[in-house]
Amino acid sequence: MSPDDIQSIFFQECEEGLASAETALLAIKAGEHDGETINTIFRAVHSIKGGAGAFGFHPLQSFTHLFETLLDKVRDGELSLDPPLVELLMGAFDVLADHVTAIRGEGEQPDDAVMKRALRDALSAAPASAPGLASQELGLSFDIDAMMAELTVRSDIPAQDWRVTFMPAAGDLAHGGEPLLLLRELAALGGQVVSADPDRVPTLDAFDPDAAYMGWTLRLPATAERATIEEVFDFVSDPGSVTIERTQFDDAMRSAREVILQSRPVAPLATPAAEPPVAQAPLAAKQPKVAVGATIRVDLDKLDRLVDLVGELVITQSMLSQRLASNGLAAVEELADLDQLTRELQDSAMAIRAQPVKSVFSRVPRIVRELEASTGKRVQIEVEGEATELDKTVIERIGEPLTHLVRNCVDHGIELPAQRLAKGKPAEGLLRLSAEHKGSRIVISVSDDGAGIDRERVLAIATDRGIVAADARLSDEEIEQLIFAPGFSTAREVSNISGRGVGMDVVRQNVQALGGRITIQSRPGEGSSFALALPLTLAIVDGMVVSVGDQTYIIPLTHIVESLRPDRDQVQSTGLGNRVLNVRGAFLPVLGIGDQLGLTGAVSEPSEAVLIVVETESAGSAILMVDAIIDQRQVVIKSLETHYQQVEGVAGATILGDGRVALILDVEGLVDLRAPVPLRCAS
Amino acid sequence: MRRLTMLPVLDRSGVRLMANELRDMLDLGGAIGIDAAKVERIGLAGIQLLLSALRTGAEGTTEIRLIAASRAVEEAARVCGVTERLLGDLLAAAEVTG
Repeated sequence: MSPDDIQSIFFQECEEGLASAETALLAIKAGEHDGETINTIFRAVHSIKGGAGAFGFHPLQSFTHLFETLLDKVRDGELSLDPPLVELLMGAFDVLADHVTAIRGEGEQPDDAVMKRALRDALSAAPASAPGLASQELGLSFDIDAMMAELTVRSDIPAQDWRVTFMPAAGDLAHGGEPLLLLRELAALGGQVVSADPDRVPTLDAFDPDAAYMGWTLRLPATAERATIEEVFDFVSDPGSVTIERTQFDDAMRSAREVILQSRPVAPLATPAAEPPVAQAPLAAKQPKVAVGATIRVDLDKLDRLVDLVGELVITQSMLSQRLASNGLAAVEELADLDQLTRELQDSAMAIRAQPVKSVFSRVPRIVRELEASTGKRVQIEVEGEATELDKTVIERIGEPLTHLVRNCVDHGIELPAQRLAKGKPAEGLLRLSAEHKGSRIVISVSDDGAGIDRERVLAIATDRGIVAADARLSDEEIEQLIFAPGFSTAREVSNISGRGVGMDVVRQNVQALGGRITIQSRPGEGSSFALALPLTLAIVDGMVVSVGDQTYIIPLTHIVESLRPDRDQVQSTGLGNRVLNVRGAFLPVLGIGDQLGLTGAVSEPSEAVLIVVETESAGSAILMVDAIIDQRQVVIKSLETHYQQVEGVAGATILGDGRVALILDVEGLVDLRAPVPLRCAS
Repeated sequence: MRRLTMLPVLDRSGVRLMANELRDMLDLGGAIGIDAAKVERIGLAGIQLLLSALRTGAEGTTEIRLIAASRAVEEAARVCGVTERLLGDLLAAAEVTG
């Protein structure tokens, strides 16, 4: 493990520490003032402080020191958790989060002078006492000692070892030099290859027998003389291809270890005699050891590879099933077991990539606090289902849409306290976040109890901007959908949301790009609710297998409303040759997949085909005409862009049980391409 | 599987010959097994040839495997720090078969 690896782990631990600290802070704000809640925050801040010192992030170390000192006073009961102090802790947490963002190189170093002064002021209110920081051994999640120990064990050699790098020159082999001889001599001196780079050796088409492609880094014990090592390389043609140096790596790690050790107490103070009476330290009553999680960190690429391989296994298993069935062996018991095991393996592989949605929800309180400060509104946050899990990639990509929805709810939905009171509502508005599984999707809702969408205003703005015709007759739902139209924004959005480069149209695009859908429910005076229906994973999709001509396609089930077979006279032609079908009072366009994709041999008469009613976000409902429905199943998505190129109307590909490739239709794209202009404008 | 037996001495001239043999076999298609059991002397060029062949198999459509290796090859791979890369499959197979 290199110093960079350890730092990377430290950053991850910071994020996890911040998340748990924020959860605890919110619990405190809600009235939970028990000792363990304070300890959770203390542990997180203390852990971050330790790492900050080890890696030389001095501003962060300095800030966490103050923050931790204050928390220690609270923990010892010297400061009481009144509302101003809770607010101070929340503010300090925000600054701490900014510091962490800064050390990761993702933001500016925060100006923490004001907050530090506030922390010192609060500390001065506490009775003077002996320094109590880090006075107990804590169950830190970021165990830098263990990491250092690992490094020590791994190197297990005296200080000041030699690090030797050797990269033979291109012509060394051709001139009779044999690097293996040098490597053997170094091995005789106690040298060990730390790294070689065989990846530099090309494939046979570019292979040159005279070229030296590889290079090495070796570690030699400190007992070896520099002159002896240099002698090994006496006959190397290019002295610049060799470096010999003392190991800076170990030096840095030893320094880091010393810093950590110095930040620890000289002797544990939690002896029975020194333990304060429970009555004087109500918050320090409980001090359970944090359980060591039985977890390991795994490179995401390895997980992706595993998921990919499992996908291949699912395909192969499906092909095997089909092959056996065609040979009359469909009822083989072991085949059913294999099918079951494959599905379970697939679920397990997907579950490894799953993360709780909490990691996204945990960002919301801060956003709301900032909005409260800038708008003068008061907002209470209610969260439900934050343990609900979904794919890591989906988690990473819903952050921005969710942030915008939250801003939207607070900025446009929830009224000012005076306005709410005048309407008979509590002064504090309610923002509710929830997540739950529904079938193969997860639904994340963001709702408020504010004023709801002002439909008249939305319609007026949309008309004014030419998004809809002046004489358009739209339903309430269609008017609400207008806020997702490109270019739509209210005047207040321009003042408050502009500059972030995100509009509701981008929110919808982001959700759609994930294969999800967003819907709105709004009641004037009662509030609005945005629901994001997202796939649990981006690797598989539930699809309907259909045939068109001699081709097989997959239509994602998420778009399908129903399928039907019309009578001959039910489908009507418009003057332009387009066909429509009246489905319970709504005329929907009938789009032949064969026509759309330029296929020959597809059924052209709707009454002889199967019509599939689909719903899209961008172009409303439509009907896709296919020859027949073959099956309904989960399919493993293969990227077309990766293996070929992007194709309009096609979202990806999959391999069917019989080994054939089937394209997965991009329903949004297909329908949007052919949607009548008024319909496209209206949405 | 076509088998290519490596020369006992894999110096640069030997490597050049073997590289050409391998390229010819690739043109013929089909899986290739490299037998390095009789290699008595091998330098960096030989190690690089074996690595190149395995990489070609891993990245292309033709399966190329090292099916046997002499002690000389094992020692050279160890000195180069590429034992796992070069002999990993062989060692795993040896473990399985006991």
